[in-house]
Amino acid sequence: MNTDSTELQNILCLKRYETPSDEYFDDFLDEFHRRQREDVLKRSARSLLMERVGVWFKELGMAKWAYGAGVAYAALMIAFVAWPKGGTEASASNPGVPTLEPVAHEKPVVDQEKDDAEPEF
Amino acid sequence: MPAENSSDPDYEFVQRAQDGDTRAFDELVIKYSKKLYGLVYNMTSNKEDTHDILQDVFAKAYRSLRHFRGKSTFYTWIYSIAVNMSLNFLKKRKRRSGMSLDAVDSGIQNDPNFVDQGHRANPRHQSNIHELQKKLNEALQALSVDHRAVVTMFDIQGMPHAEISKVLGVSEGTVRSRLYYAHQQLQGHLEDFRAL
Repeated sequence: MNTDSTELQNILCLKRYETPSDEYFDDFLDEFHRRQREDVLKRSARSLLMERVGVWFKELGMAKWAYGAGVAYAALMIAFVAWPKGGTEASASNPGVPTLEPVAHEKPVVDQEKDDAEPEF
Repeated sequence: MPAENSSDPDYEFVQRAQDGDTRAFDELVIKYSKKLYGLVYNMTSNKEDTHDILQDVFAKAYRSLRHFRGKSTFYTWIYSIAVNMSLNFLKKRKRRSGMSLDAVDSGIQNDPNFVDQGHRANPRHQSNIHELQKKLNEALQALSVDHRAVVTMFDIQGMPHAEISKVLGVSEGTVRSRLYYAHQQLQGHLEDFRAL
C-alpha cells in the first residue's frame, strides 16, 4: 500500500469518531420498542379485519349465497335499466344536446331535377 | 426454521430471538446499533435519515429473523440488510431530487476525539478540522453509492475484503477494484488535506 493511500485511510478513519452519545442508543432501543408496538397494533387491526371477513364468509350458507347472488343480479339489472341511453336517442329527443358521435361531413344536397331542368327565364 | 451456524458468536441470541425471546433480540440491537449506525451514517451523511433507516433495518431483521438459516453469521446478515436498505434509500433520494450537500451533516467539528485524531493525522492543518470534515463528507458524497459502500466498510469500518464481498454479493476482485477507483477519486478531492 503506498503512502498516499495510507494517508487517505488515516483521514477516512476520522469518520469512525462520528458516533452519537450512548444516550442516543438507549433512546434508540426505546424507540425501536415503540415502533414495534405500533406495528403490532397496525397489523393486529388488519388481521382482525381479515379474520372477521373470513368468519363472515364461513358463516355464509347456501341460502345466503343465493340471496347474495340475487341481490347482485338485481343491482346489475337496475344499473342496466337506469343507465343513460346512447347519444343517438338523446340527440333525437333533444337536438340541442351535443353528442359524442362523430360529425358527418355531408355534401350539400343538390336538387337533381332542378339542375337538369332548363333554366327558367 | 432456526439458525444452524453454531460458530456464529450470536448463535444463542439468534436462537432465543427466533423462539420469541424479544430480550434476546434487544441484545442484538444493542450490540450492533453502533456499528450499523456508522455504516448507514457514512453512506447517507445525514443523521435523521440514518436514524430512520437504522430503525427500519432492525424492524426488518426482526420480521425476517424466522427466515434466517444461519448460512452466514448474524452480523453479515444484518449488515447486508443495512447496506441494501441504505443503497435503496440513496438511489431513491438521488432520483427524487439529487443530493444536496446542504443536507450533509457537519455536527462533529467540536467532537474532541475527532479534533484530536485530526491533529494527529495531519498536523499542518490544525485549525481546519471543520473544513476537513466538510471536505470528507463532500468527497464521500461525490462517490457513486457502490463506491461509497466499499469505502465505508473497508476504510471507515475496517471490514476485510472477504466480508465485504459476502455482504455485497460481489467477488473480492470487484471489491478491490471499486476500492481502487474510489481511492483515486477521494485523493483528488482531499488533495489539500493530505500531508505532502
